[in-house]
Amino acid sequence: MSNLPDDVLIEVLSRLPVKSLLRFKCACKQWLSLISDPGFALLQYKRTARNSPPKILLSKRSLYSKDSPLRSFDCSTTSLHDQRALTRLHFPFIRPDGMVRFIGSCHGLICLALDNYREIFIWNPSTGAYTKLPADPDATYDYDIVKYGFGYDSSTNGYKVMFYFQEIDHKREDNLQDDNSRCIDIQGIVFAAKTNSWKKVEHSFGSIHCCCEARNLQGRPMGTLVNESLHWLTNNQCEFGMFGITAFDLATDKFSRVPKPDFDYAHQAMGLGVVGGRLCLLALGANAELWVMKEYGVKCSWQKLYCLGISIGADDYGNWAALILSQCCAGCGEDDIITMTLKVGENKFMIRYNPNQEMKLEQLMVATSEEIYTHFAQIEEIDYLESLISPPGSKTLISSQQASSILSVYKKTIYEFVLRVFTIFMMLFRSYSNKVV
Amino acid sequence: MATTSTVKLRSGDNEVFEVEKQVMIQSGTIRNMIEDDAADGEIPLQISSRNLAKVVEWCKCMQHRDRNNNNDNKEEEEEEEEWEKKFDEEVSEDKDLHFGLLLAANYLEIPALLHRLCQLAADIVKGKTPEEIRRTFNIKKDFTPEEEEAVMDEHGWAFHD
Repeated sequence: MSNLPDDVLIEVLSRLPVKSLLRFKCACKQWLSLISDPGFALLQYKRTARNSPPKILLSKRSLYSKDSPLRSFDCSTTSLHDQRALTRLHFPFIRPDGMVRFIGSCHGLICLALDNYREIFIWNPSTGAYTKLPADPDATYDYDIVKYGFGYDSSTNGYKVMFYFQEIDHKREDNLQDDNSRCIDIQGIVFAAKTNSWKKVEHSFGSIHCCCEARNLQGRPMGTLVNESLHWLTNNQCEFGMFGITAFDLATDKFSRVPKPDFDYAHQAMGLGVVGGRLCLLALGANAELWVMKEYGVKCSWQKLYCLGISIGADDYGNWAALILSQCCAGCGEDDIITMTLKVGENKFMIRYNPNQEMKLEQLMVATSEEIYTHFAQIEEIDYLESLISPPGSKTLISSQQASSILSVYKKTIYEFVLRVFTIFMMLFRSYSNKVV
Repeated sequence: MATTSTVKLRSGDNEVFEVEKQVMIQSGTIRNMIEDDAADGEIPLQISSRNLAKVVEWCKCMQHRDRNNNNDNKEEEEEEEEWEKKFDEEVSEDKDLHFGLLLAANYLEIPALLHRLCQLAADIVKGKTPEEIRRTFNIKKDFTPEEEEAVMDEHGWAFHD
């Protein structure tokens, strides 16, 4: 009586967490092929997206620590301070400098950059599978990368990574104080997984240049993914303190403006986020308000969802950056639990707002300025959902064999370096001794 | 449409259940039969009387709950919750009942019951080892030791806590 037909079995399996499914691949060949099927991965992801709160990946890298820099925080726990909520993740990328930058998250995949954006990976932290993107042959890395993002484009059924950067003319720095006049070239590049190549973005930000990062906004460089478009807060060039929302459509590679809620002036700190699949805006000032755009692209559909009991003192003006990381419920109702990170100066907090609890606000300090300055630690965070979805063209986890071959490459590099220093030294020594003779 | 307000279901072991149509329209299969006027006689089902009785009981409880949704009767609400909790417990402890109901809910197309049973099954098995899962689902291991090792190697960390 225990042989279930495939469709019922799929119904059961698609409700399991990723870790169980990876283990159950071992049950038998039928289960292995069921669980490895891309269609099943999508079904499991959709179910997770509907029913489970996201996880937050925290990267806290200290130059002096050999620890895995990644911790995953499970938003379904009742308290931020619950130690069980944090689990250490295997970090498959062995790199000496260890600077990790998250570019974006979509379908359980995380796009991240290492080595000052020279190496870009798409990685599934739940399965360990990853893929390395080919380098952009035209890229010069002396630019300031100002905006980036990662998402899925259903029109081509593929993932896209985008970077927007500017070149700053340092020679003109002394004469001109204004960032906009100093900025000499702005361009964007997009990687399409479908073609496995990079191309230039022809369209530009237009009148709302991304380089005029508001001093008081400190906009997050990572685009917020809603409606297959990436979104950033941008400053209005003409009027100080005014802000806008700019979107990059992953299907057309074009920028556009998205209507903002009905207040004009930028608050002391603002951040974009997603609640129930909808774009939302957190505005922190004397009062913190969470706004949500109920119908995408419709100005009058912006609604104030909550008034959070946080306020910012006038002294902190300019020191705050805020972003909303994640929501806990699929709905967009009054019961949603919001998790976000806030930056006060260099201190970073994780904050949870739960309208159903008496103590609505809970906060956890993720990193202190002291840690950052004394250990050169770097903290980044991103939300993701657990899924089985494979990165485009992925290999699976680095095997121990591959890892040791990577180590041997490093050893070789160090050996070559020592050899070169020695040769130079010898040459200098010879020329010096020649002179003496 | 048929004139009677009840429908007769005959189980695989020949027991007849007479149930209100309003209750059984939660089943897509039976709803279609009622709409096609094909439900006037007895509907023969390949479901044991024990499982069919449980399905009918579940459908009655859900219909009762939906009808009373607007009432703010705390006592009844608590009673229903108690019933659902008992149902979950009974199903979780009896694998044959659980799997039989899964098949019945799938065949009768009762999405809410199927969802509940699948979620219960997932909660029960999620912490199990591959060996335990084979026992639960009566699966024969058809991997060679080398093949099994290759699969385990790929996601070795998933086997530890």
